[in-house]
Amino acid sequence: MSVERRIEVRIPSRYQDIDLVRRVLSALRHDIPLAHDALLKIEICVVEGVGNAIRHAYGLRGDGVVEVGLTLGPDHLVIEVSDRGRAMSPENRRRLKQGPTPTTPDRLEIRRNREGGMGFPILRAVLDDLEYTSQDGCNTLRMTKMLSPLPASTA
Amino acid sequence: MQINEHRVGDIVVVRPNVAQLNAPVASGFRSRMAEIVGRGDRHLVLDLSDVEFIDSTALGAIVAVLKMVDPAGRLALCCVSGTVRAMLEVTRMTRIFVLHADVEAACAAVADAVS
Repeated sequence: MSVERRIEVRIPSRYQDIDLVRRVLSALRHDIPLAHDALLKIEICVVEGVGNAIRHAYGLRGDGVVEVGLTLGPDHLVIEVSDRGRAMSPENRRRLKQGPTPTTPDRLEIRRNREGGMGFPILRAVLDDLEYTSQDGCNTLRMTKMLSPLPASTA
Repeated sequence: MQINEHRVGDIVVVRPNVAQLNAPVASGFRSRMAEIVGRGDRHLVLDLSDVEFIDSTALGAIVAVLKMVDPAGRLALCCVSGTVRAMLEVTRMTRIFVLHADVEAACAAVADAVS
């Protein structure tokens, strides 16, 4: 495969419609050269990205639109989640790229925090690159996962 | 969100009857769990048989439940699907929660831990 293939899904900014995006991703699982567990983690990231748009960009209003573009190239998968709501704050843009990845929590840490704010660390742990842009009223979270061929036994 | 619960000895088995345990239902889930813990039940098994997907907000709610029962109580998880397991792995929560195959195994582990 030497060319990129792209699929776009557009949903209302409602949580109940995220499942449509999950089903599309699931339908493409045989086209994406990732192990099953890695695909599940990509699915988690896509849902986190769409959920962020619904919750933060649209403030849980259901009258917006979230677009999800999946681009499959020879060595990469790019997922773009776009909205036309409120843009992410500069502080959160910094946190998106520069915060920690999940560490092994202990019970002391559990008592201190860990109830919220796990979305960005999850994205950083799973994906190879994250970009957030806001231009002409359109906000886009671009998530890239580099691909390598699976061993023949699991491909 | 419907949450079923039943008692096995001193252990309360809680089963959220939802496919998507996510932000819209996380608050209700957390409140219900707080009610259970608030009446004195601190040994819990969370049966995730019906849950196909969990997001980070709902995972935060489960962590909140762990805080509620800590340190004397126990919270065990069982019947986790592939995506739920992947979420627990990527957040490294598998180091905190032992995942049990079924309710019986989870109850036995909790009973062992508190005996």
